[in-house]
Amino acid sequence: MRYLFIVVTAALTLFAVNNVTAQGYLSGNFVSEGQYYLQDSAIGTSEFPKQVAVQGFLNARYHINDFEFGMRYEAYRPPLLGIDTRFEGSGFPFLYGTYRSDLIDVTAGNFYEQFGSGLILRTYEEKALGIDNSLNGLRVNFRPDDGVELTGLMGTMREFWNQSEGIIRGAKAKIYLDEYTDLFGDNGVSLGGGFVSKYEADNENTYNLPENVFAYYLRASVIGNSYSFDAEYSNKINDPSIVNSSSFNSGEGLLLSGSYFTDGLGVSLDFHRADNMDFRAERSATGNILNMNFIPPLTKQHTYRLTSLYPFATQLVGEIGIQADVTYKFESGSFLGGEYGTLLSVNYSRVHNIDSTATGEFTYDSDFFAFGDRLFYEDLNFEVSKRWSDDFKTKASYLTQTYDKDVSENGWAPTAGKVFSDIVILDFNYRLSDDVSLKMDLEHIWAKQEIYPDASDYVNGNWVMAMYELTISPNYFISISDEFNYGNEFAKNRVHYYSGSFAYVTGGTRLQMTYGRQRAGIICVGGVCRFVPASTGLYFSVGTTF
Amino acid sequence: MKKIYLVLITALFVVSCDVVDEPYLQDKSTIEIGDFKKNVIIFDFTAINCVYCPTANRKAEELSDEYGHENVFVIGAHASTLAKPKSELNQVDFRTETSNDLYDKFGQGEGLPLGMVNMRDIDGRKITTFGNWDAMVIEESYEEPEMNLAIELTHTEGSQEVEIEITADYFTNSNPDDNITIYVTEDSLISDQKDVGVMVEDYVHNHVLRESVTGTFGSQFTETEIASGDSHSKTFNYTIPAEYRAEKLRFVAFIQNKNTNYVKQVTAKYLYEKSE
Repeated sequence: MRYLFIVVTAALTLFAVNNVTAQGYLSGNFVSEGQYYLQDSAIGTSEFPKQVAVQGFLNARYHINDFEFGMRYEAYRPPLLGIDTRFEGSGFPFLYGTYRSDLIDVTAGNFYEQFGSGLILRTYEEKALGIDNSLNGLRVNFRPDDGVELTGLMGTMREFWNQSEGIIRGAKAKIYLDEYTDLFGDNGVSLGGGFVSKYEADNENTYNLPENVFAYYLRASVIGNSYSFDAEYSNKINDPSIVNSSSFNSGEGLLLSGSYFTDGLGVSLDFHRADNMDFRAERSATGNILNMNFIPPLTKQHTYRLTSLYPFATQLVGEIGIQADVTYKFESGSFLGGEYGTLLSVNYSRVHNIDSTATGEFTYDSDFFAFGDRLFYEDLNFEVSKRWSDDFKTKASYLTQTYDKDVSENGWAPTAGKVFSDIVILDFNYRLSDDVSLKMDLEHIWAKQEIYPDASDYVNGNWVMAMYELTISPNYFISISDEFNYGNEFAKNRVHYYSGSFAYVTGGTRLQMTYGRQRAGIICVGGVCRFVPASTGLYFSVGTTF
Repeated sequence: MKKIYLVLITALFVVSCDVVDEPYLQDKSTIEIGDFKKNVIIFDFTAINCVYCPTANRKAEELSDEYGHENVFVIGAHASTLAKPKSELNQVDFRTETSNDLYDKFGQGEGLPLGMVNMRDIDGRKITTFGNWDAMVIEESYEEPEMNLAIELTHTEGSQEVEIEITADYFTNSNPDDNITIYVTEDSLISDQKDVGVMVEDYVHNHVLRESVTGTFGSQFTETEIASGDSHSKTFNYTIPAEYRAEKLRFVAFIQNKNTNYVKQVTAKYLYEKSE
């Protein structure tokens, strides 16, 4: 640890010295967070032998002339509950050098990349989920002309402190047609496409496995003054793996998205289908490990506490669904608009399994646009935002959802069945003075589960929640909250999950301390989810940017 | 000019594409087996809430069926948090001190299913996914064993006592680092098991690792060097715990290097011979 400290200090000093002589500059950020875990039988915490978990990272980027050099140091001793324990350890998992000019960028080392919406390739870092699937290799971006972008890359993928056995090669191109013709008027029209090929040796002798798995995508996008339209199709050749139970079907993905917006009105419609599109850097990977691609979620990403009890996790193996979203602003001065106007949003989404019929031990047929008979998720929600005065605004929401708990949490095996829920949220914001504001958030969920589990289920039935947040600008933030599972099927699990938090912010630095209970559940970012067990204890974090 | 860039970029990152048509399975008749010079044990790390584990269970079973039950032995080691019963289901906790020890040492917290074939190294470790087991079994079948191994069980029906005699006939001089390890497995244990897309009620778990007669990583086999061509025997006494069903028990004995854990030879016997 001391050695690392010296290395980091020396590196920073070196950067600082160069800073003076060559007029480069350094930027980055540092975050450290930890938790002291207490045993709490009331909420079913599991024993945490090390008692304290601390994890953190330092990002540093040095920019000089056309060059950028960067690194990230990470340490997990051990990782926080819910983050994969295989992260335990410390080191420099992210190092790179980049050269940039008008015509070409080259990167050697670690990098993140996304092709289109990510249907065949998306690498990213999401600390909340413990996901980092950065590539380690080479990347070249060309801009031969104003309307053309080309990218080529190859590399292996990060797997905790190792690299994948699979090697990823790919290229993409994007052309802005409106740069070359006036045919489209004011509209922006672009076409894109690309491919990825993954090589992984076949060392087993059961299947005739493809060692090179090829995938491509094609994309078209039109943006006008009052509408936009996107279509993206992807295809992946046969790619038998553990998660698709050695299916030799090829994979297909289709995203269609259209929206229309005028003064006060916004309407969007989405359709997507993903069939056998789970694409990983190794055939044997399961869980959130070594995913090469990403399907943008089709359901509204809710953020309120009780709306995050039953979030939908995108099923890369197969799903089909639609989403519709309408927002309307009632003008100020109108009957419903009042003095300041009123914003109404309505959103509906529905996701099913794909309709498929087995045609052999390793293949199936499926009708492209048919919805299967298993409903994975349905969500209808309304939100009304209204400002009543300069100092007071409110937001009220109602949601009604159907959630297939087995699909999202139990590997599709019938365990708990579906959850039917209705949620009401009232959110009040008062500005008490120029520097002080108070937010009050009241929520209630009515939930019923098809198969009632036993007393080890700490999350079911009705909940009520209240939260108060006091912000004293510019430095202080205080919050208290209580979530109460008063409707839990099992009397002993009708528990209060109280929590108090204090944060101090100055410049780019933030210190936070939280004490309380955290319920068990899944957390999702963009439809990618992971389970986090219940915990009680003291959480602290320090973050600074420079 | 633009075309040149396109060509350049494609040339830089050449791609290939292997579309596989039927047959999807490799032709087994083309695979040679070394006539099992050496026997093989598959340690199948498994768990009742592991969705892909039954696929691995079936693979292990299939390999034993295909290559001979006298050549390929299977041990189902239930471990990891996925092996913890969900109380809303009719599940049984099959984790044991021995299976937990094995998983802690070799499983390294990785997601199941995973397994080990004679605790042979593959890519610098011993655990690997079931797709690699077949090839590893074949590789092991070619290995020249350092000894032959036999197991004799002496047991009176109705009694809980078993005398286990292990005899090794050495083809090379014995190695002082060799341990003898004897595991007890039980067949036909019932518990709900998750499988891909379904919950299998009353799943039959065979070869479930119950405990070790010798400690998880074995005990010293020879006190003095045994010369090539000579034999060595060792006897162990074991009391069957009341909750085990004697007619379902099998004793799996193997000699392993205590430093590398690599399995040099393995044999097994049911307490009551199965009529196969």
